[in-house]
This record gives sequence, structure tokens and C-alpha cells, in this order.
Amino acid sequence: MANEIAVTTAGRVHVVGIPQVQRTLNAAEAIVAGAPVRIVPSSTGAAKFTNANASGTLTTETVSGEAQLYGIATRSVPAGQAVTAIRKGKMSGWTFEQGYGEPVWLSDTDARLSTVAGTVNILVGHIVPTTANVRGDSEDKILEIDITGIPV
Amino acid sequence: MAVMMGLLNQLDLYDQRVLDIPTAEIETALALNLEEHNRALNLTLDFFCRRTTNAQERFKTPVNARLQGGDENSRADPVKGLNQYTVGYPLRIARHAWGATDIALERMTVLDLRIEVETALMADINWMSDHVLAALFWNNTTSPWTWADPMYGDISVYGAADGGTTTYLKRNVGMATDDHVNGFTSITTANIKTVADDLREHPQNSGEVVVFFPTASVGTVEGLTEFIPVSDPNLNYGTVTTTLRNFPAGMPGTIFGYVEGAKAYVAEWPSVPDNYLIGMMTGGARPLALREDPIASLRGYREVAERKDTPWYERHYRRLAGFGGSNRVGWYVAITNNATYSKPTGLDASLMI
Repeated sequence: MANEIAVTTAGRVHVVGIPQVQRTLNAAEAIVAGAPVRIVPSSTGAAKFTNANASGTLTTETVSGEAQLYGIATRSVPAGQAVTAIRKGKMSGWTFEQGYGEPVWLSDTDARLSTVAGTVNILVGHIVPTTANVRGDSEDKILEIDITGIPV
Repeated sequence: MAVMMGLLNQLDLYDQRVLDIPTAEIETALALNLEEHNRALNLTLDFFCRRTTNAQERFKTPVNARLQGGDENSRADPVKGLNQYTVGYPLRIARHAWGATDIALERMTVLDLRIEVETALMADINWMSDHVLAALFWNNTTSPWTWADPMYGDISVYGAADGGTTTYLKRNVGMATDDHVNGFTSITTANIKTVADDLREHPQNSGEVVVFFPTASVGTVEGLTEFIPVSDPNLNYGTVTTTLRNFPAGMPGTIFGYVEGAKAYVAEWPSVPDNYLIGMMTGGARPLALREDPIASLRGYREVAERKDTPWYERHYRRLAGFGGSNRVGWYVAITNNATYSKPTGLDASLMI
């Protein structure tokens, strides 16, 4: 769909350097690498990661808080397996059409990132350049994740 | 793959886990490869640069003097035999790292480690090569570029002689301005001769002229009427075929011939951007200076740190270095498809990190 940011190779994203904040939880449902995930607050799947999206309203009490983004999943897992999500750090593996420094948002589409803010404006991070490229190549774009979970 | 040292070059060990080999042997192999990398790279750098720890200095040459005729009562007037101009150099910091998780480290084989080390060494070669080229290709036009040095303030960094007011010693002429930055619309024997003559006319340059071309220009140079190829050891030449027998060594690229009319060797150096050339002489004062830190442990390409924050692990490398023009008539650069010179894309010394 328009505005959605795709993972370049399905199932492959990379953590760049040592993340500042991360958490590893069981997956309540199938999660793909690079997907934004939230923690299920209660009842079925509680305390597990599940896919997040920005289409719901942000509440702290009900499971309709689909926009309570925790972090970005580092690998693809089926339900029942552990997955680590990065809340603050750097990751690579998406094809970014936007320019360096531009924001990346939680999409209204489940488990997707977006170039535009969703119904609930949850900022995932910004696209930053790396400088490890050889002469003549454009700087790679990686995602600097800094999730507060607070709508902007 | 590059030639590595020690156990990183032992094919029979490639499938072996790194952690099954004593740590001391691994660290020795890593240190050995870094040491050899620095040694080999320094040999190439010595062709372009002399080393300094100064941020700024004066490049000194003699002046063109002549004996003062006299008689038994005469006394010569002292001559100030010194010409000098100020040059300056940046000192940049650059780093490389590779990382792994604790599980990836457990699984790491000697081949995996070799690949990480080779990548780290290649990163240094590419960075140093880019900055040498940027220093060579800088065109002052009316001013040098400014390096904001954290210790010494603003430093002016110069390229080759650019037709400005600085004077240089020329044989049979004396002190004169000069321009070693040019635009040619094509590669011809006459243009190569211009490069060679402009280098040879300065007494601080010596040895043989070598003109470096990118791979894309080799065919054009080989097509020049006065081109003499290097002898191919796999061939027997006829009595009427002229080939090159002796040529200098110890420089980057590969010498592929000689242009007789210019009395210049020609070398293919893939790092030279398309449609450019670099002319230098094999002896005399080196064109550039490589500035390094006065503290010995901050010189060279070094492995400096590990970061461990389980499950994450990183290994870090560091280089402090900077390049600037020193013997500003010691090299010649030209664009070869335009009458007006412009710096190659991506090699603006003032904009590169």
C-alpha cells in the first residue's frame, strides 16, 4: 500500500551496534522481522508481543490500544517463540524512499512502518545515513529507533 | 581475497571454531595482520607522502643563485638561499567496527573471523586511498580549504600549484608562479609531455615521471603513436618490436608502458577516477604530507576496543591521519575530457569525512 515501508528481503533485518533498550518476549502470533510490535496488556496473549498498528486509540487499559508500540521485531517467529524487539537503537534492512533525517511512523496497517503518521501519531524513529560506503556509492539508510510510545 | 598472515591464512583451519583455538593464538594472528597491513600500506603511502606531526609548516627550497664574478679583492654578498611557503594538514579521525551476538561468536569459524578482519583492513585502505586522492585532486582556485583543528584553530590545506602568487623554483628560470592543475580535452602525447615537463622543471623533483590513468583510459594511451608497451614475459618478441624492459616499482597500480615523446611511464591505477590523470616523479620531495598524531599510540591503524553488552559484542578499530599538499609542484593533476578542470565527484577534500 502507499506510504508503507517494505523490508528489503523478507525475514531479514539487522541490529546495527549495541541497542540501548530491548526486550525479549514470547510471540502471541506470527511476527515477521522488522514488524512493529506491542505487549499484550491482559487476557489472551498477555505479556507477549503482538503486531502493532496505529489505527486504534491509545489507551492504557484495553486491548484496543493497538498503537501502544513497544519496539521493532528483530526476526520472524511463529506464535509461541521468543523474539527480541528493539525500542531504542539502530536497525537496517528496509528500503527507504524518503530522505536522510526523515521520520518513520507506525502504520495504520498491522505490522508495518509508514512514511506518514497513522491515525494515532506514533513516531518510530528517523532515517539516518551510515558512512561506511565506498566512494561513489550513496550512504546507506538505516533506522534509528527511539520509541517513546507517546503520540506526537 | 587479500593475503592474510598467520592462522587466518591456513585453509585447513577455516572450518574450525575460533573459540577452540587458544585466545593467545587468535590475538597474535590479529595483531600480526594489523602489523603487516600497516607495513604494506605505509610502503604505498611513502610514494605519495612524507610524514609529519605538524599541523602547519613551511615547505623550503633553495633559490636560483649564480656565482658573483669578482677579483682577488672582491667579496660575495650573502645570498638568502631560501624560498618557502606555508602548508597545512588536517588530522581526521576514522573508525571501523564489526559486531556479533554471543551465539554468533560461539559459532564463529576461522574463516568468519578472517572475513571480518579483511573487511576491517579494506575499510582502512579505501579510506586512506580516498583521502590521498582527494588531496591530490584538490584545486585551490583562489584559496585553499580550511581545516578547523581542535588544537590549533583554522589550518589552510593546499593542493598542487594552481597559478596563484606562490613562487616555485624552476630550472633555468628561477622563481616563478606555476600551475599543475589543468584541463585537457583528450589524452595525447603532447598533453602527457606537458605533464612530464612541468614536473621535471623543478629541481626538488627527481627520478622518472609516472602518469597514472584509470582503467578506462588505458586503451587510449596504448593507441598513442609513441606508446611503448611493457614486455610480456609470455611472449618472444621479433627484432623490430620495441618493448619496455626496465620500469620503476614501489607504487600503486601497474605500469603498462612508456610514452617515448614525453619520456614518461604510464601506469594503470583503477583508483584514479575516469577521465582524470595524476603525474608524479619517483624521486625527490614527496608531493603530500601525511599528518599523524605526536603520540605514538595514536598513529597507524589500530584495534582499540571491545564492547561487550551481552548478547552483543563489538570490536573497534581507529585511524588518525590527514593529507595535504607539501611539495606543491611535486605532482600534476588534470581532467582529460574537458578544457576546464573540476574536482572528481566524491573527492572534494573539504567535504569528505
